[in-house]
Amino acid sequence: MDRMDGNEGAAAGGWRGARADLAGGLGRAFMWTSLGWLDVRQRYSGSVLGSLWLTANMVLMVGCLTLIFAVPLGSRPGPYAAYVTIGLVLWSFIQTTAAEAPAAFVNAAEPLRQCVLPASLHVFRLLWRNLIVLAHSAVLVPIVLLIFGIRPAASAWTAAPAFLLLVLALFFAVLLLALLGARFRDVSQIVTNGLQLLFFATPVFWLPAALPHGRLWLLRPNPLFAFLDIVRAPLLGGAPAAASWPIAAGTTLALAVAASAAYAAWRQRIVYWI
Amino acid sequence: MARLRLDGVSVVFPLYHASARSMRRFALQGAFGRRIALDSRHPSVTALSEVSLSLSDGDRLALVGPNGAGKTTLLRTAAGIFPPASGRVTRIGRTTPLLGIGTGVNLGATGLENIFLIGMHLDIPPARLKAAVDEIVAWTGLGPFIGAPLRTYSAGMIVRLAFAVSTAFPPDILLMDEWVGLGDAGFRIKAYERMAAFVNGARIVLLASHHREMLEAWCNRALLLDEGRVAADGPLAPILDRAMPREAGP
Repeated sequence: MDRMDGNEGAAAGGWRGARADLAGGLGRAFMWTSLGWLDVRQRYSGSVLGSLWLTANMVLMVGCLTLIFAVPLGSRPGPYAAYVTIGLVLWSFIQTTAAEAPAAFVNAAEPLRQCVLPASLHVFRLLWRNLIVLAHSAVLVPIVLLIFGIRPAASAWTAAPAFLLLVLALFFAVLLLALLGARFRDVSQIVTNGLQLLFFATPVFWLPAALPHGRLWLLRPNPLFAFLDIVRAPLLGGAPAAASWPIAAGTTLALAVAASAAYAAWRQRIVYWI
Repeated sequence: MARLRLDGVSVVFPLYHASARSMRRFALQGAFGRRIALDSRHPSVTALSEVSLSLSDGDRLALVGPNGAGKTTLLRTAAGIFPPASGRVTRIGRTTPLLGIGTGVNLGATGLENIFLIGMHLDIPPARLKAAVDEIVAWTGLGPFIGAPLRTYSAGMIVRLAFAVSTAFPPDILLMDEWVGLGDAGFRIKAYERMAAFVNGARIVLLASHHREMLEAWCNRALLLDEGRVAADGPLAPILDRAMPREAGP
């Protein structure tokens, strides 16, 4: 359909069009990094602490949770603080990313209707914005580990690929949710409510050991625990549960297949939905 | 060589939940008349039906027709923004739709940053943008204001900036919606010159407008749309006469 217009193949439907759109979006890194930065800057413009509020908020949360829960949950304050810091940093990244996802295309209605640009740009922008926000609280992780003298395991490096896997899974999740959210405006509410429940159902601030004996299987169907586990455990000097890596990888693959198929099928409808 | 072809292109807008809202239904019925199908299970509006046109280098097409005839939809479809329900769109050449002035402007960012923001939304590569920044800044005449956030600008200054960026990079195929209210009189003269260079730099131009003088100045062909169909396609003057009869002058 399209030739030589710098947006090759993007006007085509199906898999070819979806692939061209994703590649075109990724290739315009200049645009989504600029827009992502601008989003963060704008959110905190005019405030004294600026984006350091993100860091301050995390310090307060970790402090409160440690004061209240460390002893009742049968842990010492130091290891618990480290555990909960990594847990909360990752959780807030996952939560805000997923909660913003259904509005990714809806909020980009103007550029989507006025410009010839790959729609996936807006997914990259959302993810980039949340990575910047994450960086503000993630600086606390090494600090907390140092303060409480927690020695990461020799396998601590596996946290890096584990985190990349999480980002990849989130990318496909955002793509899928952005499509669904454009068509069905209730998706936003469903995701927000679902995440609220999942926060308590996932060992973010409580330890899996707190579950009654034999109830550990309760955590198995929750892929978010697997992602938390593969990043957090090696940093705290332990090893993730045996099932965590396979579950995280399987979830990523399933999301990739579902999101790609949905994008190939409905990408061209987005502009009619928003 | 640039080319733009539409072969039997139809565009259908789905109306989600339209039947549930009688107010909206009533309003739509008025605006779109019989093109609206509300009683079917999937209510929809046919915005373009069976539109065909073929343009190549040197063609400057005036797109005319009453409000709601489908002019902007046709521009969007030609640009590839609306995938057609049926028919084919073929484009050869870099295409820029200019449907509103300054898509991408951000009031919290500085004038300089906005040059990049607007340029990115026109899909101009960053290297080309960087190379053109000085010329754009000079043309706007904003001086030191270029480093200030856009929220400190007057509406006219924002238009000037957006206009300067939008017209800095002539594409092969230019799809343009009516440009109105371009600042003060002095600016309008200056803008006219820049616009001329911009439009002449494009190989194919589609211009939708209600201003006869503008269309006569820029175009050499016309297409009249009526209720989403091509009512006439051919030489400029007779179609303009039909679409916008001159008022009986003195």
